[in-house]
Amino acid sequence: MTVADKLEIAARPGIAALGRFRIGTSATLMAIVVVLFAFLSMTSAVFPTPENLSNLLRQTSINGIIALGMLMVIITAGIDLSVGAVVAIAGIVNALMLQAGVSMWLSIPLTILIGASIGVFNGILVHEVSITPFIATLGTLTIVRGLVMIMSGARMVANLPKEFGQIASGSVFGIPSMFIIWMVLFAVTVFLLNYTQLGRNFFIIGSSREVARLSGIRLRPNIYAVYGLSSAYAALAGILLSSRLSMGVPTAGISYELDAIAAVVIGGGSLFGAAGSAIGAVLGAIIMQTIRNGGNLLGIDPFALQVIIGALILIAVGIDQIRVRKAEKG
Amino acid sequence: MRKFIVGLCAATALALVTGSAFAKDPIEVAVIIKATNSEFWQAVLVGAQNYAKEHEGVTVTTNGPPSEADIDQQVSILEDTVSRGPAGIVISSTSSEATVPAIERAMDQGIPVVTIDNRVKTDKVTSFLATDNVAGGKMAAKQMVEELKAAGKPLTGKVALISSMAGVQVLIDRDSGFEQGLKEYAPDLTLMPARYVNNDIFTAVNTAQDLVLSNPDLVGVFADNNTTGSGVAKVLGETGKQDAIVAIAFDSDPQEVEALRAGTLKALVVQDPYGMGYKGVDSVVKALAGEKLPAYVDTGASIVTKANMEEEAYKNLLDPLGRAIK
Repeated sequence: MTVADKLEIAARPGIAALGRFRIGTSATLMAIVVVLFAFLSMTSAVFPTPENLSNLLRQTSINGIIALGMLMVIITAGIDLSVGAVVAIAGIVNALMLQAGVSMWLSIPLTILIGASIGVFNGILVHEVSITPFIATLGTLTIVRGLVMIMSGARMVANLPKEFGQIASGSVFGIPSMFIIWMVLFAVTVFLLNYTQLGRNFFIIGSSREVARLSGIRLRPNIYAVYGLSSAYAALAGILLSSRLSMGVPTAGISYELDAIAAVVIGGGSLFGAAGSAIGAVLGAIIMQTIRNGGNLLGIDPFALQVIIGALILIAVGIDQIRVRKAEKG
Repeated sequence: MRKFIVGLCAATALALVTGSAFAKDPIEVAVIIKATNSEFWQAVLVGAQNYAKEHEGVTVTTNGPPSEADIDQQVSILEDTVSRGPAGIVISSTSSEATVPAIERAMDQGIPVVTIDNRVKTDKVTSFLATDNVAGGKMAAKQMVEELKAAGKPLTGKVALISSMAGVQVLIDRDSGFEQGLKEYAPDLTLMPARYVNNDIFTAVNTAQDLVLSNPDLVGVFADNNTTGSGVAKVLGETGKQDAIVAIAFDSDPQEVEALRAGTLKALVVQDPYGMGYKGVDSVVKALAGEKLPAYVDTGASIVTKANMEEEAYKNLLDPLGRAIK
């Protein structure tokens, strides 16, 4: 592909990613979700009950939110391993503020801001210092985990105000509020990726940095933005998690980054960049948690369950690869 | 000339070392824990320090790596300690093998070494103090059966086991003790296969939620550490099933204690880390006085319930850090 070809793609960004390809991926995922739900409804009387379904949505929301942030980073051909640590620090920082008597209407935005600044720190490492995202965010993960332990003394921060706990446990018209918040972020992400210059820039940067530079995209603000967004999403997930548990947990979020990456790639994201969609990430997260929920309900051997989820990641990505290659040939 | 200087240095060093070895009054006991970032290990230190404060002529120095993952660091701490030559050493070794050479070296030098919590793979130790986790798991089963009887429930139905992690020896011991106990005390209760939660409290909540919802005949839950205990308590509180399902958990942390008070956990099986630290130093002192010590001492586990949690002895077990002598 010549630079001119790439510029051509860049000029109509997302055509590869937004068009036929994405709809195809989502259709495959939808089919998987339908089959899973049908199978579990047949094998477990409890699965299709409203109570279990709202449990399932609550259980999925945390990873679902983190996955949306991770998706944007992955679209730029980056990766953010620090999200799980950000979940923990957000939970602790917010809980400490609440304990100190700060109103949650102040502590929550402040915590998200702190989360975003950790992301900008990642952006600085990636853009200014040219550390590969994998290593940069791995370093940040370790630093943030240490900070969490220092701030919390490795202890849980409990006795939070009741109203704060009600955010995550509440529901509106029977729909869990955690799920509603997740869907709001889903809408925000769809808007960002498809209807703003910023989102288009993410795709162009992901397809080729060289192209991005040639087409006059300034990398710095975009890289800062994408890592900042990912961390802000993770911070919000951390706040919701601590609301769900009614406490800040220093060890929260360990290996959540891997679940988020899995949801994104099941949803058609590619670590090579410029591919992936918000609906894909959402469905990816739902598929993963549905298998876990169903496994618990049916009492499937937990180790076998792990094998199943691992295999599913490979099958979903494998099928997508084959389909994309066929589409390219045809 | 250079040889002479080296020789002189060596002689001086030797004189210093032997000098300090002879002047071991007071007795210095070095206590090395697995990790400084945990309340459990802090409680071991409190026990050791309290012993020193209660006994004139005994001083305690404490050390340990920040986290249990830092095995190398713990080995170097031990090596440095042995070189320094305290009167005795109490160590909870994270690795069962990595610390063996240094422990044997200390014993060869006449420094008694008492291991606590984790057994190391050598017979060359003065004594070994630990909780018998199998017995602790069995106690949990017995308590669950008693709680069910007290509530007037038939001893049939399902019991769930939520384990923090697969493949960790102390948890395996607790779980197998619980299984043995249940078989012995209430053979008609069915123990469901363990669900593992990666020591993640959110996963523990989710798993407990799924189990409670999908098993209407569930009469009991055993949670084998504090994370799983807090997760189970949360779900039983939310679903209002705290009296329909008897939940018993291992360990104690503020959340578990609160759950015990609220009745969402019916009992806690607690170890005695304070006792491990206290008795560890005591064993070293006794060994130095020439006493023969048993190779293994069970520091015991206790059942704490809402009924006894305010009693002094149990209060101390629930909050060992509060026992520190200022």
